[in-house]
Amino acid sequence: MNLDELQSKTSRKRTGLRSFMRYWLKPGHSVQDKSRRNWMDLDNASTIFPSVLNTTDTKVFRFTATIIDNIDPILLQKALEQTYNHFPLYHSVIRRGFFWYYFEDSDLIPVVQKETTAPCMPLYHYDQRNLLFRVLYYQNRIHLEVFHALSDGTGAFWFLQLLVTNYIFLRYPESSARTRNLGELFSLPHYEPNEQIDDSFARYFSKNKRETPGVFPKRKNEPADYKPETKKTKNKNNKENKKIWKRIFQIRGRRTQDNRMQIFETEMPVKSVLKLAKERGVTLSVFLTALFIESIHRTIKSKRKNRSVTISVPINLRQFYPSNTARNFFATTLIGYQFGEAGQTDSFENICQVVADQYAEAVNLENIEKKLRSLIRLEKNVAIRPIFRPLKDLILKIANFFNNQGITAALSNMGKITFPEAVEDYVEQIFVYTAATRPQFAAITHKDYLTINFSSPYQNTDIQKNFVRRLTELKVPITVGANQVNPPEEDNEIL
Amino acid sequence: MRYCKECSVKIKGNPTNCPLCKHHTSELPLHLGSLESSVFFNGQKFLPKNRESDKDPFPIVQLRYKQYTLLKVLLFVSFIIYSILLLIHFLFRDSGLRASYIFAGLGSLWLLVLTIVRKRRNVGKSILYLLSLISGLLVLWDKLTIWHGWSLTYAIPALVGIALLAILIAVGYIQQELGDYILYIGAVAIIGLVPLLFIIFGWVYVLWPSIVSISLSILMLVYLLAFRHRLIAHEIVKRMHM
Repeated sequence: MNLDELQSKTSRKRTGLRSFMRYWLKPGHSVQDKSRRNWMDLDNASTIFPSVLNTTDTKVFRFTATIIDNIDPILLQKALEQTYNHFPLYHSVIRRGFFWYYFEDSDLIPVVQKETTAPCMPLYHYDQRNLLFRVLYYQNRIHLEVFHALSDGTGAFWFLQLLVTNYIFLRYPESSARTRNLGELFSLPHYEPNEQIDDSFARYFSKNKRETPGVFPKRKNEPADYKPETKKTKNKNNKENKKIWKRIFQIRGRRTQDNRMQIFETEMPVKSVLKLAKERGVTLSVFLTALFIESIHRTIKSKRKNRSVTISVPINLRQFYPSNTARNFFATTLIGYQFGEAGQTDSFENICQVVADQYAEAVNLENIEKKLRSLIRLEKNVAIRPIFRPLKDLILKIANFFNNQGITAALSNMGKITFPEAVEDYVEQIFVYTAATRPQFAAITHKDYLTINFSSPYQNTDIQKNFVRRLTELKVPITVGANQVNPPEEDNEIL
Repeated sequence: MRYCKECSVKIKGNPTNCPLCKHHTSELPLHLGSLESSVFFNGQKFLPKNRESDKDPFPIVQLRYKQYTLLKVLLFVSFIIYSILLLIHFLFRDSGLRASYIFAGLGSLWLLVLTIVRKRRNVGKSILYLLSLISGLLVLWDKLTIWHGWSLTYAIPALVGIALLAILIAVGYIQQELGDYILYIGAVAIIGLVPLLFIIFGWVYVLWPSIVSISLSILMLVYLLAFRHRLIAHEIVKRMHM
């Protein structure tokens, strides 16, 4: 069966008077049996995504895996179906209720497609029952695009990991023969259906569970006498001493012609970058953040030089709170640097130091918990819950707009990822990037290589250029790839 | 694979200009080697990557604009019609064409067009919205012209009947999950009970159309409650969840 046949099979219809009568009159009709579908609430972080998405910032992110040979779509489809069975979460569609969006189970079958469109095209559309992810292929690349309300980077990577493993076992049968413990490979805790759909925000941070002793799950290395803050113990005077950034720089520019993302993928030996970070006594994340801040600052015109540059960084909460959820489980923090402050030199070394201190402060779990608990309190607030959903959308859009005013750019470091040993030889490179309202990058390390992928809605490439040139000046060998944002004129058509 | 001297980076594919700095690209310099050779860093060997890297990593995607061409044409046409009608209204005072008719006519047209376009993906929702909108507009038109009460007596009961039949046929034909439509069918049936108010308040003198509408709606509601009450309860709990 080829892919077109599969596509038409999934949209098959039954007609005729008999089936018409059966549809309305037979109570146990198969279609209607499935009609009472399982559904569940969106988690705390997901709530915002369907409300604030737009045609530029589609809230879709993409993983790319390059394989040693060109992709065989038939085998990829087979691998996708095998993987899909392991991930009940990915069967979900998002629907609109009167008060909230919710996930609903579906029996759609995902179909792999050849990549013909710009990256990170919208996945969620109201009134349409679409899966919240898609798998594309192009030459030797497999792309997994995911709507952020469904999953975060870690959750989506698990899906990719299994998809690529399945594909390689099908495409290169000798690889599965080399794997000794095949069963173990597929019985990892994060492939367990019940673990995947766990709402870890609610599990760790909701008030009710917090205040019932013994029920609440412990975080890693939690002190024995740790007492979560409750309404009664809350100290009103103890204001969080959060740094207030002044005159935050906002990146502006001319958008790409049809609002597509401008993507740069860069790859470099991770050791050479790690060495540079170690020379400055900081971690890779700190180094990249400082470099990003400096690259942005170098694009600022002289009269605005003394602004602060702030970077929004997600923190994977799974590292502190044991969880195998494939749904969102992250918090964001703001890392920044105030330029032109008296008594400091804005050297790169100094930026590194300031950023390193903030990273250390950011993983202070008391602050993270406080923030997440207040977000969950807000979601469960009796005054918020009965607000009509379209009004909630509007409120969230406005809140998101004001929140964005405090952010110059964003980045995400996925860290080092691996594939099962037998598969590793066939996987060349992993890339990750996301649709963005402002220049943003995502970094991921695989084998010896670090890939840093920039996405931006703007035509201007100065920030990316500064970033890359700074690294090449420091003798890091870099290979760049980019998508075309201004394709040749004669190919264009008006829709 | 190309090379940019300004940025000192290797570039995948064969672009004539560096995507970063727009300078002309050149052949890969010898010391960086061709594709087949290895990259050395700190004495460590890195295997040649990307056998396909002489190809572009991304497909060329044509520009796509959302043009809303049809909508623009319609807007233009309706503006012209509005101007012509206004002109007739001012030039021929005794034509009986009132400015309010013209405005209400075009307003009705646009409300209908936008409702149909926006709700096109769910036939149940579409029928419910159209039923409510058209009923409202007909009452308005009845009021705007000399009030005969035809909208309440005939038009709305007829519309309810048509809507119930249409929803039954359409949903039964497309054979999708009933849960997606059942609440809209229920809502249409409940609107069908509104003519009861017309009778109670004595707004209508010919009673049979209202009675037919009410009976059809009651039939539908009885059917829904008798055979589909579990599905209805499930859908209400799901959608009304706070």
